[in-house]
Amino acid sequence: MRIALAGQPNCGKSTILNYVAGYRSETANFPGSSVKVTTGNIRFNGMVAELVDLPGTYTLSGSNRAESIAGEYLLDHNIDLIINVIDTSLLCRSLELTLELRELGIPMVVCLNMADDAARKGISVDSAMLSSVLGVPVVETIARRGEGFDRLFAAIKQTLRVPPPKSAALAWSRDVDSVVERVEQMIHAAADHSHYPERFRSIRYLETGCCDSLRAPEITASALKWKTALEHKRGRPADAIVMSERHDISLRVFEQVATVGKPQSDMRNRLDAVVTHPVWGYVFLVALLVGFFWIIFGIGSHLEEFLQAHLAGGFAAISRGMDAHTLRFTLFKSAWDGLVGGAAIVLPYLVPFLFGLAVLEDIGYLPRVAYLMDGLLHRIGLHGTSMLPLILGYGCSVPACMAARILPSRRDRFIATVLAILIPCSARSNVIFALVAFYLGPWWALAIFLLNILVVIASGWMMRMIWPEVSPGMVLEVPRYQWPLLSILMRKVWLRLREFIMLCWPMLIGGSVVLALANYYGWDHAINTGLSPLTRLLGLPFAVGTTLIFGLLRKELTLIMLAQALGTTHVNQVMTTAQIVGYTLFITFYMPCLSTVAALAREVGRRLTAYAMAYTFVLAVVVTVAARMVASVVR
Amino acid sequence: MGILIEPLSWDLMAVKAASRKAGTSLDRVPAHSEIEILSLPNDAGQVRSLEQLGVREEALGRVRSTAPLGGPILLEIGGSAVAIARGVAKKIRVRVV
Repeated sequence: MRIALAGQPNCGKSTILNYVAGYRSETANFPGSSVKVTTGNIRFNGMVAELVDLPGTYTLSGSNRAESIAGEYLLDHNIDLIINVIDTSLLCRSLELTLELRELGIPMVVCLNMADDAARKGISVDSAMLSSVLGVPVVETIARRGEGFDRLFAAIKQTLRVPPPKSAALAWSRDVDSVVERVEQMIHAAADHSHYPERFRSIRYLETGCCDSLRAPEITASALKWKTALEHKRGRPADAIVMSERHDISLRVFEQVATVGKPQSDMRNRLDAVVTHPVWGYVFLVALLVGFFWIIFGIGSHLEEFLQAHLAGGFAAISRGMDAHTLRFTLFKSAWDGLVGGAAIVLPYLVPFLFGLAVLEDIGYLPRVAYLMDGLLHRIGLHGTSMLPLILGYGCSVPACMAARILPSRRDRFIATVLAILIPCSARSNVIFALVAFYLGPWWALAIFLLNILVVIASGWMMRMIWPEVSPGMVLEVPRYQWPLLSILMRKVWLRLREFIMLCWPMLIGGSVVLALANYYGWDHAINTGLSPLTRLLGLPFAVGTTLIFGLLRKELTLIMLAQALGTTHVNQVMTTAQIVGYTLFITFYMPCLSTVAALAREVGRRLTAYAMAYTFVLAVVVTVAARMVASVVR
Repeated sequence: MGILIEPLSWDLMAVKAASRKAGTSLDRVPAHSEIEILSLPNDAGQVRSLEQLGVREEALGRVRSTAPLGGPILLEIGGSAVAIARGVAKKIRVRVV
């Protein structure tokens, strides 16, 4: 059995999936946070079902890729029931999708979510009356707190057992309804059996201009004649007429079932006045980013120092009596280095970083950043919505590439993904924190982050010159602030951290052992010799060549491999300041890790991915050599 | 809040007077003004994305703020806040009410 969660963006679909099927879909407080289909198995009231979380969409014939994924999934898969999740505080607008879903003829339960927010806005909804108007069960929930799920799943079970009787169709305007009916009759006459109702196919023909049942030329011509006549009469395209019809019905239903009282006084409005202010908004943004940086550095460096000191003592105690020249000792030490590297160098920065990012995502601050940065982004040929993938890039480049699906044009998606992979992800930020901030000081690390932003801006500007298309203007919903719940934050951090612990940490240990073995048998010399033209050009020590290859698997590997290759964790004793900075700059900009390359190829195609990889490599070389030249002049 | 810059009242009055007859474009309306949408851009894609978020003809709203550097307009409409790029806002005719 398959149950789909469908609704407009940011209405709480993923929160419901996570609550009932375990945390598997990343949630955040901005529209478009879910851009892929996520599934989970659930058992309720003795039934087993696959619960499918679809990307948010305003309509089944959506314009961006994330929206089309939702529409196509609903139309191409066998679905036993739809849970239509609605943000109750936006009921009127949300009902337009409900009406469209209702036309599909699939059993449906409406979930009036975020009932608390609606109450704060002074909106109260008579769910019994809404249920009788729509002819489907309606249940109120507050998904973040897990309230109302018992009633929701009881209603689902009941609907699956005994579908509610069909209520009377909601009246459309006579002229539109008459065209819908005529096209419906043609589809009926074509005798093309589909599991979708003929009325749904007729309306979809008016909206999209295509219908498989109307392939015969004489029928197509006749349907087109009716459609054109309607467009002439109303002076608007047929899809806009259908949208207006749904809007009018939604408005009528809303007036019938909802009462709007006085909204409660809300601190959040006053906070938003500052955060989106033309002057104070930017002051707040800069203060927040600098504060974020210092907090992560403060927590990370103290933990790193503490853990390094204690774990080094542990190794000395365990390896006492072992001969340092044996293969056994080499293997043991390298495995220990990989283990300690993950615990003492990566986790101290990664955990606070992921937690801080999760807080910013859940509060709903990111769309405000998009709003503030839109003007600047226009100068590099993008619009504010592109800010969302760019910010997500600080967490991980893979979801950042996927987040670009919310952008309407292919050109914007390509530019945004290329820029997103230039942003230092948590792994690369880790290298900046643990190498530059720890050994050279936090100001050096801050300078690298700022240089990165300048390079991203310059790259965007350059791509705009190469691809001078006018970007469609931003139209972005800015959601209400939500107070983040600690339980959700912890689960989100764990979901992201789990990948490091399950996949990356074993790779750190394995990579460390492989490099130690290569070192023990002298194989690394051949690799380093092969890469020596590059390391010489970049002004880096001969021994770091191999670490650059490991970085293609995972960026964190470079950090552990560096200690292994240099034979010490006190990197500053064997590398100069210019070399540490140069190495970090190269790691920050050169080709993304394999998972990102795969995600990029899926989003923009292999050819553009190859261009993007070549560009990042050349860019990394240029930036590192330039930094080396500046260092030599300063010296 | 004293630190916030309030729009000058004569500015608002001038825009109100100008918009009374044929309306004005949304990008010219100062922050904190109440508006009524008269017409949307002549682009089906933009109309679709605006209408989905409740920005449609005859709808009433309030300009919450305008971003500098040619940035967007933040409009409160239909119970939600929508950021509209300046280029799109230029093509939306409104009447200050």
